[in-house]
Amino acid sequence: MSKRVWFDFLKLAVGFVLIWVLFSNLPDYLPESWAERIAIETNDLTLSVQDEEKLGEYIMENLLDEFQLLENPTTDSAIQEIVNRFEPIISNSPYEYNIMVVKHDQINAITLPGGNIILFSGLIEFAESPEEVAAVLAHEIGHVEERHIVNKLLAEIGLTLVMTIVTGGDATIIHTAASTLLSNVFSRSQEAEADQTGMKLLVQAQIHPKALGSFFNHLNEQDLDYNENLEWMMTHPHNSNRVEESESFPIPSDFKPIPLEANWTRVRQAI
Amino acid sequence: MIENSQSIYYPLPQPNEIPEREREDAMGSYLMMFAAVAVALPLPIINLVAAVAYYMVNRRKSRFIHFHTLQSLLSQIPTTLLNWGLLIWAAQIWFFDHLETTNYFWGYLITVGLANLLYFIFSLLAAYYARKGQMYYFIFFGKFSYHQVFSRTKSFKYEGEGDITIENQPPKM
Repeated sequence: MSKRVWFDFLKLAVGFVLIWVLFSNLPDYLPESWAERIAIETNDLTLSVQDEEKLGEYIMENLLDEFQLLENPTTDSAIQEIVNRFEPIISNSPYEYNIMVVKHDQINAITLPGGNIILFSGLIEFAESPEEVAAVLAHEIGHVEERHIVNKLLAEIGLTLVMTIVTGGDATIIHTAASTLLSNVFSRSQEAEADQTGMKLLVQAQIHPKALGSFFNHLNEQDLDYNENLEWMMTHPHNSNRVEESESFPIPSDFKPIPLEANWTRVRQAI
Repeated sequence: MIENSQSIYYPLPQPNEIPEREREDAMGSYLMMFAAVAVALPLPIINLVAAVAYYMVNRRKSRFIHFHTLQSLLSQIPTTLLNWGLLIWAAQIWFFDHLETTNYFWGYLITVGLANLLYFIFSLLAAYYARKGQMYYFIFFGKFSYHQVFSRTKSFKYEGEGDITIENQPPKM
């Protein structure tokens, strides 16, 4: 069979790849106004920080019906110590952070719009050091700073969510928003982005960023009950890569981590 | 290839030599695919299985049928693979990437859609010409199938060929 026949095959394959590349880059070639029209509608939606805070409050009220706050001075002071470390750095943030601990065995943390972060007591019991909890908290702060929470809600619930804030919080929509946040699913790139922001925060707070990797290592090593902790594991599908990322995170040459002083054994026992 | 066609390749059957039944079988190889694709939409493999089955059943009937069934079968392979690629990619986005898509995915989706559309259009054309008893060559697959079916270097036995034993002889004059 002649080479011309195989050349036809090559033409087909090259043609396919060229058209694929063309369509993949089409938005770059379109006039800007066209590209804007094609952009996904949800990108056009946005919320002010004040609206985010308002929405966060509505969702928190809804969640606190389901979860019981852990009121324990030992835990509170340990969490407050971590917050104090972050305080000078996050004070420039438009968000006002509020950290709460709820009684629940699940190894989880939920971040609400506007800077409210809910830690589950299961996560505190599971962590081997206050630095690991600080790392998880820094990661969640990363989600807030990168606006992942509100963008996720806008993408999944959309314009109705904006209307809910304006009209004072429709119970059904708020419940849907709370369930969406409980599902805790972010994209891989969002998780990586939150990791990077969180690790920067850790370094600034004189906490070694490898604490995040240590937490994931700990997760990987444990023979976890997957049914109970599936959500957390599903959200963090590439723990090994993230351990490597945290270990190779660039730190300044004069960086000296200052250990957190909380007596972690006591904190865990107090839960 | 064309210049040497008289010596290398078997002569092509002409429309007036091709019985109605053969034309319908040849046309069927393209049309059968439409029904199979409709059934196979969630999992684009059944159409290929159906095409292989149709090819195996009909290929020995005549060179004309053999050519069209082979061309139909071969031309389905790339679209099936592309559709599988799309299915796997979409499943990965759904289950592992939390619905996060890239421009390359959307570009692939559109290109595969176009490839399927072109494949449907050319299959309809091929079915039309097959019904008229004519040859119709797809890019690459047409030439490849022609070579496989009509080349004298390929030994392939068709129904009726070689079944005639010469017993009756003319008288010796």
